[in-house]
Amino acid sequence: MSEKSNEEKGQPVGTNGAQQTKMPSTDRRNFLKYAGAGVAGIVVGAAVEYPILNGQIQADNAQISTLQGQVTSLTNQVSGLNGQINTLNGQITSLNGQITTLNGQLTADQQQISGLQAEVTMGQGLTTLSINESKTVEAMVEAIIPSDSGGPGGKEAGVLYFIDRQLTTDYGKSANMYTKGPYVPQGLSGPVTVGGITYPGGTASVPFAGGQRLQYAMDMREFWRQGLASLQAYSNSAYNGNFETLTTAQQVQALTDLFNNKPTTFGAIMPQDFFNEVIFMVWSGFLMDPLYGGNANMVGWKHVAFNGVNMGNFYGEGLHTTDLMVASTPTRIQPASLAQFQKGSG
Amino acid sequence: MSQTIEHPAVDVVVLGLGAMGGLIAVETAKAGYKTVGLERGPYWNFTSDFTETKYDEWGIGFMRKFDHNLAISTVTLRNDRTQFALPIRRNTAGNAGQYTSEGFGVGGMTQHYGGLMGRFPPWVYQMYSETVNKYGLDFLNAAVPHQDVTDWPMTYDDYVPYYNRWEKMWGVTGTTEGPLVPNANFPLPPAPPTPIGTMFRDASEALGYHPYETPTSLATQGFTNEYGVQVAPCVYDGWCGAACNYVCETGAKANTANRTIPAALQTGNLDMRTGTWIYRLDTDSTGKATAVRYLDIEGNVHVQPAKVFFNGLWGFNLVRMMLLSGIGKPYDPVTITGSLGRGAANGVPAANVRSVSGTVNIGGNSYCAGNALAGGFAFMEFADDFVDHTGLDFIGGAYPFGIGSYLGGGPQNFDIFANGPDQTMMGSSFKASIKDTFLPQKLTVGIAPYGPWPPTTDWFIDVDPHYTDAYGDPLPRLTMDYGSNTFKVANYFAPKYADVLTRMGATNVQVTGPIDGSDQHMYTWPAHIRGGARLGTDPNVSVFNKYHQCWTCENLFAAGEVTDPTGDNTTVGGTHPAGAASYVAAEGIIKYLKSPGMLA
Repeated sequence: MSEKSNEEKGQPVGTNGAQQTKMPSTDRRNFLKYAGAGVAGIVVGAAVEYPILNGQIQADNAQISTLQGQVTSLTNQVSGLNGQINTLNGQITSLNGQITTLNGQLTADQQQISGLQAEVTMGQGLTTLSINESKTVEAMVEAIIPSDSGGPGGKEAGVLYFIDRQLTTDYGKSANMYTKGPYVPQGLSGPVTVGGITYPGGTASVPFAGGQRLQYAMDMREFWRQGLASLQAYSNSAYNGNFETLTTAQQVQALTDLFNNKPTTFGAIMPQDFFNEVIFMVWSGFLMDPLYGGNANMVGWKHVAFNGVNMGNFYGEGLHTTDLMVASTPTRIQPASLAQFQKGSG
Repeated sequence: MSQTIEHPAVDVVVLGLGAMGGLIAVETAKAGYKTVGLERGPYWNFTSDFTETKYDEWGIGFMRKFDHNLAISTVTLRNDRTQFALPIRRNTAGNAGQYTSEGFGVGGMTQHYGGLMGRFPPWVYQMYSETVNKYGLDFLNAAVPHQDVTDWPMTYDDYVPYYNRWEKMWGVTGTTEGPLVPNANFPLPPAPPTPIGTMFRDASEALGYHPYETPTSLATQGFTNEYGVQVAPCVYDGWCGAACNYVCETGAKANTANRTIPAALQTGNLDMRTGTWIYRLDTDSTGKATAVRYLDIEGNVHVQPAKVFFNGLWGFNLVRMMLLSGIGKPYDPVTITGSLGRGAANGVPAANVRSVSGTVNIGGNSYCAGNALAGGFAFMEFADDFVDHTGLDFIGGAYPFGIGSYLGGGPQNFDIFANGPDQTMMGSSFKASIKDTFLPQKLTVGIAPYGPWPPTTDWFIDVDPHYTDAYGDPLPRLTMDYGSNTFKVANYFAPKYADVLTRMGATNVQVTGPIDGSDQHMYTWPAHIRGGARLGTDPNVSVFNKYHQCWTCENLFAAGEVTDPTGDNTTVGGTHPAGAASYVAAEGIIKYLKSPGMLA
């Protein structure tokens, strides 16, 4: 083994190697033998024909001089060519850079194309929000769920489109809500008189999660319309600019102001109610099935490690829920959406 | 053009085909009585209607696509009589505030319930007399201010045969239910236990308790019930009981549509009419009910006479139907007289009680959460009156059910709203905090013990003077809040749970401080209302006798949690005891059909 590794390193060892080192020595001895004969002959001739030698020396010097000129010329040419090579190398580097840039552009273009295709495929247009409203919503989405080192955020998840679609359908129309009057706010200290009956205790203070929290004479689309307009007005008065033009820190602060009911005018709704609704809808857009327009590519589910409709074998993992549910260590599973599940079931 | 359609009289009309109505329908139909079943929702074909579309947290959990639409009707709620009651305007999402929607369709609320089963122990049936005999009336009055506790009309022993029958029919899983509650040998084996569940079991045993696996109504095996209905076993897809949200596509999670109604239809004696809106019971001069009035989808008025009516509507709707029809004596909270609407108590824990938590060295896939509340354990020693209350200031105990049951019971992304939206839920740090939330490396076991909420004279159900449903009838109104008894129970038992957690090897075991609960109020309707139309032996405080026959309307019967005389007692979910009791109602109805008159 050690011999072989020496050979691999280019260090000749053993019989063959020794012969190889001798070969040049033999050739050199033969060469010296013939060369010695030639020199001896010239020495004999020089003693007889000296004047002719001077002429020859001069001619030789001239020839040397000419050759030196040629060498200088060639040296100059080499130098010139080196310059050209340098120039060309520079050009090559520059072109490589351009190629990289173009590749980058190509990738970006391809991404934009697939993004647009996705928007077309997934219907990522606005159905009820105006462009202006959508800018505010998108800015809130990015402030609440930023795209960061922890992964894609609400924008990548298409939360805007989730909210927009919900506002167009049952949610926005309050189709599943009890909408008859009278509308009496929660959290009223008494007495309060309604329909001729006086209630000394007023109304209960209801937290967001309570089903009686929202007591507004408007559907949820109108609630958002007033909320977005009021946020924009507040942003301009308190932060000197439209919400979407503020820094992220300012946006978060402005939303925190809503939570704390800081704005003194906010349309017909309580700022905190709008804040709560925004937080609820933005996170829902990140975490509900992609079927509803958000959670694109299941980025939200990947973030929280939710498997959706993958019970353990959707992609042929060979796992079964009954094993996973009694396991004492977690197993990461790629999520599957309801649409994938339905196509797989078909 | 709406018409009035008079139907020929039948033997029995069942109002609402939920868990109770389904049982009455199959019992009367099998006994040969012509039965009409009225249901506002559809007769879901659970296999074809749910298999492809149930895996939808948004549609099911928030938009309640398979449930009752609040735009049609809802309930108003206030915490005391001085307040104006606000209507529940929408379903809320998030674990803290989420409530189960009213049922819609054959199966009712059991369509989407958590499937928690278990018998009421003997004490519950004699809560009043046991407490007064043992500790005195002063003790009860002090423990539960304004208490309005009554006994059930029958004892636990009386109910045992009905329990046995109902458990076999419904398909209840579990082992022999501990030595403290005899005679319970459930027909189906329990679901596979979880590692935390077995830790809890072993620790409880080591401390001298008698743990058993939490009973559920999820068929762990296929079986055929007494009506010949074939039940398919659970497939453990995990989308099951989370927050009592999900419907079952195999029929393993017991409800009317997969246990009783198919057999009732097969007799040819059940005329099932779905898509109907029941709004009134007509009565004659003697007080007997003569017909039920309902609307069909076109707005036609239907009048359906019958010999017997069974009110199987849910909770406050059951009470409202009687109030709107002028049946029964409405409760007056000022004079504390009358019985209809009286004795209603919440059956859902407060948002915040003294609690205990600890971390165990076990991780898991919390989304592959198995089903409902299966896989965990319980023991009775902390429940009811198994602890001697001498020298204590509360009644009842804190029953630990489903400890270690499958993590969360299924998909609940809404859990991130467990504490409601707030200003911390923005930006990268919050986002990072929920990274891999469904793949915990270590799990926290949290136990929030809560005690019974016996009925009081302060809490009741009536009709709202301001709000009406889509058809112009007054909405039901709840006057209800958290009772102090539940908080005192939690204060007493939380440290005892800490001992169990410590014994389990949990680290960082923490017990929150004692709490009096005075700052906590009910802010959404409870998915379990116990009482409001109580069974009893005294017509002054109860609405129905032991056969579930109305004291003032002899051909009207009812069953369900709302007929429970003792309020919430924390021991188990309500369907199991109510289901067992509904067999008594079925017996009473058939007795009445054979020989009309007040049953004794």
